[in-house]
Amino acid sequence: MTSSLHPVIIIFAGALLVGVLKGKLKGVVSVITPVIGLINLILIDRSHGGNYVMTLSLMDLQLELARFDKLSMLFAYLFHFAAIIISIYSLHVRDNMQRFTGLLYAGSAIGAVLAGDLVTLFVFWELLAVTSVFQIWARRTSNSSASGVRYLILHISSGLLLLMGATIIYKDTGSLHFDHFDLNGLGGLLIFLAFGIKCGFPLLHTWLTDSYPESTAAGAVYLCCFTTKTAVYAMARGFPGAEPLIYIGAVMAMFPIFYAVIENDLRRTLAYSMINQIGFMMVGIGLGTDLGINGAVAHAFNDVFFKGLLFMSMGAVLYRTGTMNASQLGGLYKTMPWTTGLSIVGAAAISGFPLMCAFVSKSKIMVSAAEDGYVVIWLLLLFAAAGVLKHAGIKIPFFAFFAHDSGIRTKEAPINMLVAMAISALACIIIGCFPQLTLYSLLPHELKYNPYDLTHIVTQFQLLFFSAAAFTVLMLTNIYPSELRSTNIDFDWVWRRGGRLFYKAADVTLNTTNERVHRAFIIEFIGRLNRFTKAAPSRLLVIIMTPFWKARGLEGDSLIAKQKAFYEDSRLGAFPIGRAAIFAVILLGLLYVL
Amino acid sequence: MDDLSELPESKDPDREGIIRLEDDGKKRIWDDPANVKRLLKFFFLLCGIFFILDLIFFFTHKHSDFKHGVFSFDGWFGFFSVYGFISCSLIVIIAKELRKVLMRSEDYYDK
Repeated sequence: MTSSLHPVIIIFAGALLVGVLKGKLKGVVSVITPVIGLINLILIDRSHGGNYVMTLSLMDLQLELARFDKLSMLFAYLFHFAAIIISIYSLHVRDNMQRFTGLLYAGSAIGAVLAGDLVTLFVFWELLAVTSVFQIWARRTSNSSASGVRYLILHISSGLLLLMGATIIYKDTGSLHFDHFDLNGLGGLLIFLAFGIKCGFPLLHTWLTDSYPESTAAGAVYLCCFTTKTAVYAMARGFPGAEPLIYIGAVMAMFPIFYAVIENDLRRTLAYSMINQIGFMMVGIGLGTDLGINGAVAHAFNDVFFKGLLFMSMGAVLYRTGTMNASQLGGLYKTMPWTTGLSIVGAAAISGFPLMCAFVSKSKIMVSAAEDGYVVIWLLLLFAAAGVLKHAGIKIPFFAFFAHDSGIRTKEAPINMLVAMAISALACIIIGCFPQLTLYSLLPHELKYNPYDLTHIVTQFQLLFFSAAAFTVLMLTNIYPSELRSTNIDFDWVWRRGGRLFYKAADVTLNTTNERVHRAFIIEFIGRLNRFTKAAPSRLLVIIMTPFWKARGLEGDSLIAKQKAFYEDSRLGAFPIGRAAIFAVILLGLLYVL
Repeated sequence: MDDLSELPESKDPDREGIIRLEDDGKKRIWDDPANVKRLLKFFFLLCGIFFILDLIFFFTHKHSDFKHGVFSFDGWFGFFSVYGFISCSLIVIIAKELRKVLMRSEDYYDK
């Protein structure tokens, strides 16, 4: 069997069906749709081999609606897996807004990674922004709606930057093909920034930590699987070997660790951890070596499973307890043992324990950095790797399920959530144990790399165990900071408070100017003009008449009284008939003379 | 401990899933401090084992990822243990200090 059907069509058609259907059928279709999509994708892979492009001619433009090669195929597979898992995870959700837009979101992400030209990419890039925001708004709180708007502003800006960059590149080169871009041109730089916003570059990362904790239980899983991974793909396609990425990545891997330690909201902790993981991927892409790119892409692939698993377990806790604050949670292992166990698998996987998936991908990036001689970067990444264990590997399961007993007794997560988590956990272990058979065969570059080298295993265990030992010692000596209900200010202060300041400044300057101008022109000027046009003829008449009155012998007060009376009469147009007749005769005489 | 009764009111669809039960009074595994102590002992024992394994490795198999020869500190004995321990402690201590600068009340942005 062969197939030439664009994968997005299947997902979008399924999404429309899900939107219309009700009850159990809705759930069945939402799970089956990505499965059919996956089968279609396998058929395309089988029937066309490594490289295949679906094109469309639109006026003068030759659009590449879908390009199938190793790199895009890996992400297309990944997004289908993710869509299946999340569809199972959100089976209990009855809210149509989430279910319908969720599949559209997955479809947009698939469309974006398959796009072979910048116009197609732009369309899916914007669709990605618009469909994803509903995962935040579906929470229906005032915080989530505000957060969604902030999210949308940054993501629409990213789309606009992409469009600007694409226009400049088209003007310069005459081609819209989506491939390597030059970072030195303006067009390339704009596209780099557009991708950077979605990747969560430092200072542009605020949407991540802002929106993930405000979204619904399933929404956070959606967000963590698609948006940033699409951006990592775009970066790997457009800017492999761009040196700034190494340094940007190192900063991204470093700074969130500190925030993650003191953050109280566990899903925000995971959002910081997300930036940290993308930092590793950025370093791998920036190195640009085959090993580095492979490592970055493999890490993005794994991240969907282990980070997805952690977000799912936290979503289950949120769903059952209604809170995500570490200060309010604890002791949940007593009533949610399965969720606890699965969360620990995710935590072990993200920390990079041998036989778990992050070990086989993160080590590639580290080795690539070492081989290229980036000593400081390597040391920073190692520091960050210890931090991952601390803030994601230990903090998440420890404070939610163990720590001090919060007294909360609840029920185990719904069965569909457990199944979805179990699939992810299984994927983490299978990829970790058999990387050559699974993940490595999908990677874009053919390489012989074996992560299970004895030195790596022993050193990794040392790093993990002694980091954990540091945590234990700090915990036992009470040096470890307790979880407090708080907000930690991050760069989004600039957007949120700064935004408010900007609004106030704009309010004061613009509205004051407006008011002044209104007063000067509308009230003062028009009023004066009005009075002038009313009073001027009367004054003129008074000035003309005064010599006559003086000649009649009027002086002093009686002259002024006469002037006033005449002024009033002329202003009101209330002349006696005789005087009016005289004026009329004068006027007619004047007309005759002229 | 925070008061749990003050959950924010909302039309959040996920709130349907919230379940609060009474404690059934059973003792679970980590309620017993002796078990926690046993776990800690086992954990520190594992730390020791990996440290000693590294010593054996140092003389037999261990290699550096740095090919240029100058920076081969990742091949030193115990490098990863010490680096891991120090990193993790530093992270926590720096983060704790950062709280003094960064921490605001929970409703900071709502004001």
